[in-house]
Amino acid sequence: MSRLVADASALVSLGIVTPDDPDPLALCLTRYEVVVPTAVVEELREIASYDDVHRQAASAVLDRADSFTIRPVALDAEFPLDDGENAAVTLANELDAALFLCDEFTQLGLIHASLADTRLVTTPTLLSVLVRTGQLSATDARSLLDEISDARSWGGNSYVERVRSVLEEP
Amino acid sequence: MGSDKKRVQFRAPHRLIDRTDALADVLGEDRTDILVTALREYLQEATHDDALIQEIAAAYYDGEITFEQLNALVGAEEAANLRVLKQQLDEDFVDEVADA
Repeated sequence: MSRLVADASALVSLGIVTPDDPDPLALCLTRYEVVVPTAVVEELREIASYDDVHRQAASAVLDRADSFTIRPVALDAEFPLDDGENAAVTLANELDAALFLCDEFTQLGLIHASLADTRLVTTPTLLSVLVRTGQLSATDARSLLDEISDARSWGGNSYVERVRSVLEEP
Repeated sequence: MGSDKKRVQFRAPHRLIDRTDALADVLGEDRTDILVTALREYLQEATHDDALIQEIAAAYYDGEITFEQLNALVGAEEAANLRVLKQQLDEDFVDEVADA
C-alpha cells in the first residue's frame, strides 16, 4: 500500500465531509497507509478546541486516529514553513512517501520545492484521483468538493473551479 | 529597468491627456513620467487584488499566458504556487497519482 503523509490543512478539508456518505477520508484511509506527524495531530487538537467552522472537521479526523499512524519528527530548520507543514514535509522525505496531501495553496510552491521524491496532491485533486480509480462517482466528488469549498471559502479560486468543471464532464 | 525601454503608442481621451500634462507642469515632470508612474501604480495595486490574481491564474491554467508572463505579473512566489496548481489539473498527473 502506498504511503501518504497528510498536513492539517488537507485533513481539515476531508474532515468537513466526513459525516457524508461516501466519505473521502475513509476512502483515503483504505487506499493509502496514512502517516501524520505528531505536530499535525497537535494542530488538529488546537483547531478542535476553537469555536469555529473547522472545529467539527478537526474532531472528526481525530476520531479516526486509530486508522492512521502518528510519528514524531524533528523539524527541519531549513524550511520556512509552520511547524505542522514543516514536520509533514520532513516526514514525507524521511519515509520517501508516495504522496503528500496538503491544501495550503499559498505555500504550495515552497512545499513542492521542499519535497524530494514525494508527489504533492491537494484535496480537490485527490477527489479527481478517487473518481479516476472508481472509488467515487463524479457526481459525488462534485458535491463533496462544493461542500469543502464552501467551508474553506474557496468560492473564487480558479483552480478549484477548474477541478469542478473537470468533474462535470461525462 | 533604466535604458531598457519600449516605445509604445496609444490613443487616449483628450481630457485625460490634458490633465496628465497639467499635473506634469505642476510637478516639473513630463507626460511620460506621469503615465509610467500611473501605470506602475495601477499594476501594483491590481495584482494585489485577489479576484484579479484568480483571473490571471485562470488565464495561466488555460494556456493564455506563459509562465514568464505569470511571473512578471504576480511575482516569483505566487507564480510558483500557481505552477503547482496547474500541474494538479494535468490529466496525466492525475493518472500518475491514481497509479501510485
